[in-house]
Amino acid sequence: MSWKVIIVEDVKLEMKGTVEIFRTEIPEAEVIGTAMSEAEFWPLMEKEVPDMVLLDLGLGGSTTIGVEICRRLRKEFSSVKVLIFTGEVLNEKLWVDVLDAGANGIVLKTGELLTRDEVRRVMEGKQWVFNQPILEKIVERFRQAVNAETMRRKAIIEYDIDEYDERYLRHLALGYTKDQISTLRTMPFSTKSLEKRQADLIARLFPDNDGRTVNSVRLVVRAIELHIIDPENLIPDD
Amino acid sequence: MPRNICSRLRVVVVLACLALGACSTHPQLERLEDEVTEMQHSQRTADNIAFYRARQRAERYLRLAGRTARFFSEEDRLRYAHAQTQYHLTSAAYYYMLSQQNRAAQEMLQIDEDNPLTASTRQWLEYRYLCGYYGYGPEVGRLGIRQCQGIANQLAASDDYWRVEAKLIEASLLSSEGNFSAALDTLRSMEPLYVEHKPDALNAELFPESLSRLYEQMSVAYAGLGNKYLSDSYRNQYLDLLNEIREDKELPARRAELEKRVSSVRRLFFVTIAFIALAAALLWLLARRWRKRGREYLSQLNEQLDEERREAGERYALHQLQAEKNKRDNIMRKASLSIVTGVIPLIDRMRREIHHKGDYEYVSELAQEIDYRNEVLAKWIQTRQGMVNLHIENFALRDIFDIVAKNKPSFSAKGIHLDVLPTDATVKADKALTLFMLNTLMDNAQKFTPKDGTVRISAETEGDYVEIGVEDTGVGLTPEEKRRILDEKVLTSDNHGFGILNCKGIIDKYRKTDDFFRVCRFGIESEKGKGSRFWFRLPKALRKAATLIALCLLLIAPSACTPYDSLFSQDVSLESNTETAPYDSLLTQAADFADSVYYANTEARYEDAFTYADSAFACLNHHCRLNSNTPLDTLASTGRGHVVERDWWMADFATDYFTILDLRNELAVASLALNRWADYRYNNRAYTTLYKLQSIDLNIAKDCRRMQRTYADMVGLIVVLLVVALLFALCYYLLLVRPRNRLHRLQEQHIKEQSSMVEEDSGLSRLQFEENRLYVQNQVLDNCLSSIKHETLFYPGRIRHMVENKAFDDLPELVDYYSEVYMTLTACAARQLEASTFRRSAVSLDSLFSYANSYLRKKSQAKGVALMLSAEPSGLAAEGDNVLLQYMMEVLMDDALTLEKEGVLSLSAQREGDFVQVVFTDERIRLSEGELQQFFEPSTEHAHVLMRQIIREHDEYFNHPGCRILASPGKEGEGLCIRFTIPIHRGKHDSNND
Repeated sequence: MSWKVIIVEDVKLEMKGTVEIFRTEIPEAEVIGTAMSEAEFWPLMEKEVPDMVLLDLGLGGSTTIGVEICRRLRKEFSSVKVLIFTGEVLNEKLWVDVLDAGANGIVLKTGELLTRDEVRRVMEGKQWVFNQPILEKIVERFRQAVNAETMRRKAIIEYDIDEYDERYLRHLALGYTKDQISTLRTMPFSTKSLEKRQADLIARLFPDNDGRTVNSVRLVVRAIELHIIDPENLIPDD
Repeated sequence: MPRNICSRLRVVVVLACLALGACSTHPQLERLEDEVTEMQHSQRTADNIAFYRARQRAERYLRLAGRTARFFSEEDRLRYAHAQTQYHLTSAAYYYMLSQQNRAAQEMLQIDEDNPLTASTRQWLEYRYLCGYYGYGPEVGRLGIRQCQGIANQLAASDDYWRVEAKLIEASLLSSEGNFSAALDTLRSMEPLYVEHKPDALNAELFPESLSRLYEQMSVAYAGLGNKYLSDSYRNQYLDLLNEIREDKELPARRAELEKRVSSVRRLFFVTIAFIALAAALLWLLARRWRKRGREYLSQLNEQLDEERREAGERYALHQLQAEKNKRDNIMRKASLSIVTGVIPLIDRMRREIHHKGDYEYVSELAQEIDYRNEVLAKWIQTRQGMVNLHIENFALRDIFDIVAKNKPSFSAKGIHLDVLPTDATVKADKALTLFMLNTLMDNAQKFTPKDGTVRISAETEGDYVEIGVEDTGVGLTPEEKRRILDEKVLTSDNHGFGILNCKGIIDKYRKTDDFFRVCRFGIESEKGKGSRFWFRLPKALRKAATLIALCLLLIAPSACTPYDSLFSQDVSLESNTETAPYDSLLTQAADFADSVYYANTEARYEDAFTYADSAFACLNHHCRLNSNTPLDTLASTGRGHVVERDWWMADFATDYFTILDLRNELAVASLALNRWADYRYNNRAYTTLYKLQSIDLNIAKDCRRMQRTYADMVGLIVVLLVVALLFALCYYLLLVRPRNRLHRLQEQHIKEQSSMVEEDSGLSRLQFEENRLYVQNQVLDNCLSSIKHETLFYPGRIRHMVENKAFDDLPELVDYYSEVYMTLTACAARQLEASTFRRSAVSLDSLFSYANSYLRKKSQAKGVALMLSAEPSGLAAEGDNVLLQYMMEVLMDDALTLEKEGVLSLSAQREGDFVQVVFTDERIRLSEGELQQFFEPSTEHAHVLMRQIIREHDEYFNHPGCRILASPGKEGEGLCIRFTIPIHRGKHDSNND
């Protein structure tokens, strides 16, 4: 049973290799088109809808455009299977993003690269098809970690937390006094300006503070609630 | 020889005596004895003034000696008691002599109280004599006049005075028995003593008082023998002598003394005033100077603060420039790293093909592509080497050691003792990198040192270099491990890590920079299980002598005026205030009667004289009854024992005492003539008593009292003045100086605090920290990239060569090794980028565009190309890193300028959902489809990869919201259009980059 595939890959030489893999390893798949950019891709989709799209996440200057393409594919072509084939070996957030966007699986461009097995499983309609490098990370724990990180990131953006805020809160949680914190190599501030920083942090983390005095402890707890600091990973700076 | 010994002995004895004398005999005691002797002498010679002076001095020594009496030896105590008794005895004798019975009695009482006459028999005898003779103490047991005579006789054995005393008593006894010729003989027998008597010789060795009594006795004896003429003559001599000795000179003595004291205290008073005035003036002057100096100091501090602020501002600007530059360098390195990471999939593909024995042509192509990318990387690294240099400076290692010493707590938290040995060494090197190296080596040492171990940091100057060592008591290294660290370029799974490799790389970098750094070395001394010592050498710098000008400014004492205490004017005039007895007709009558008594006597009508005297007394008594507040005894011309006039005198009753004196004298003369001895004795005694009493000059007493008061007042005034001055000084200090000092200190502290905050306020230290971090990161990344380039450059070519030669057998192993090395090095490099360098702020796109505009204008002018930029104002603001976005603009403009053709570029911005899309159009260029697709790929031709990297940074920082960068043809397929999107600024924060 043969099926159709469109390959999206922005590096010419890699495209060549990928096409070669399909030709030699997965002969049942018919490569009906290749696209090196988003602009090239959508017209191909207009022309003929494939059974599967092998999608690189980064195209041209945009590293995460694959996520968007995936999302749109899910919306507009829900039957099309999407397998992500990416060199983003370290960017876990992107993996989650693209899975959330509806990708059936992710194959990293390391180790064995693309194998028939993964492609077959995707075609069988399996979710979360990963190759070995990704599978090495247990999905659940990975997800938790990423979610915590997401929250933290959110808090950092939402409350405008910079690294010094984080470091300050972390060391407060570790029981450091302001004086001790001010002697840290990574905290080039005086005690006085740390006090200012704390007042500022309280104002940000407790925007509708009803007159209750917020002390360092409350502040630290709030920071933990917001995942600004991770209570399971409280390590002082050297 | 013996003579010599004798003289020596004598010296020793004298010294011993002196020493003994110093400790055994109290000087006060000796003086007291001297003074008492002097008193006795003055009393006997009736030298009243001398007596009082001696008495005052004796009194003082008595007091002084009394204080130390309990430390006296037994002998000294006896001496003290003797002197004390003698003092009182002599005083009593003196007062008896002056008929001041009360005071005499007081003195006698003192003897009873103080010393029950244990001192000597002689004193006891004298005491008994005085009691008997003057009638002190109870009647019973008191000695009669005969016993007195006995005592006098006993005492006379050794003393002329007592011999005279004894004879006088004998004579008076004989007279009272009517044996006048025997009395006269007795008196005459004393004549040798007085034969040479002349009035002016009186105050010498003779006893005037005794002599006066002698004359009196003579007068009585002659009267008894009926020789009226001689009797009168002796009586007159007696009266003359009485006049000489009668005066109680206590008050004049006191007055003279007081005058002296008052005048000295007055001098002291003026001196005090002058002193206070001087002190106040001085204080005022000083305070004014201090205040001025304080103001100057403060203003100086303020100026300093301004200067510091200005300098900090300048430094800030300088550091900001450097930090921006570092950031650009950093982004370049990141782009380089992205080139490196971009190679990884290619290597993997190569591996796959080789392992699957697939398309070897494809492998060759891949190897070629990798080669090309390496070339790009090499070019970038080369460019940078031209751009970035080490920051070589002279600096004291102490600064860096102080910083690393801050790690002590983190070491001790792990139970490791960190010992940073002090150093004076100065080196010429890159400060930030040196700190980085030291930190790296320390972290390494900490990792491999067990609990209770020690890590020691030291520096030693040797020759033209300084060796900095990090020594630990950790696990140590085997020679094999050591060799691997030092020789191998790639450490695949070594736990000593990449850090040491970096240190080595930095040292190599120094050596490559300049011949000056040829002394730079990196080395390890280690023995397995005993610890290691990692060291590196840096060239020694000539130390500049730092001139520290310590500003020793006195803390400010502000001024205030001392109000002059108004000088209390003191009336010290010694105006005498004579008190006159009130005129009274009764007194006139009495005076008249007294006159009559006198006339009766001159006419030898002695009985009449008594009658007149009685009338006169009657007048006086009547006057007394009328005027006296207290009932007083009446006067009479005859009587026994008690002298009534004295009571009157003592009661301060004002009457005509001159009349009474006249009366008594005339009555004495009359009774002598009439041989009425008892009357004579009574009247004579009354006369003598009153006469002596009257000599007490009341005015002098008053003066004395006034002077005493003045003296006390003056002393008090001086004390008050001093206290006031002291209080004033205290108040002045507490209310003015201290608050103002505190104010000054607060101001000073405030300024200093501000001064210390200046750097931080300006964000300088933070900037420096970031700058340093970026700098170190860049340097380390450089090392990584260089080693990636160097270590892996060879493989792609080798692989290609093998493919072409069909040497497929060795290929899998080679490609695996290549892949491993490449991955390891890349991971190490990637680890350097973990610290975020992104600095988020609201970036106004309009100001970003105007930055681009001015940048273009500058550059195009330099190149001589008429290239313009039209930027549409949008009023939008984005969230992003201003420095990176500015760099983005620079890269865009630089890229456009590579085509030296005139034209107009355009920049615009619009909102697109949560993003701002910036559109850059260059209509002069036409790019093919393929070129557009590969626009952001690494290339030796252009730096577009930087743009991609900057957008990637934004996307990563904002958690991958989907920032894009896209190159496309412009409108109608003409020109180049670059679009990028970054998060829009939601207006939560004010834009601070306008």
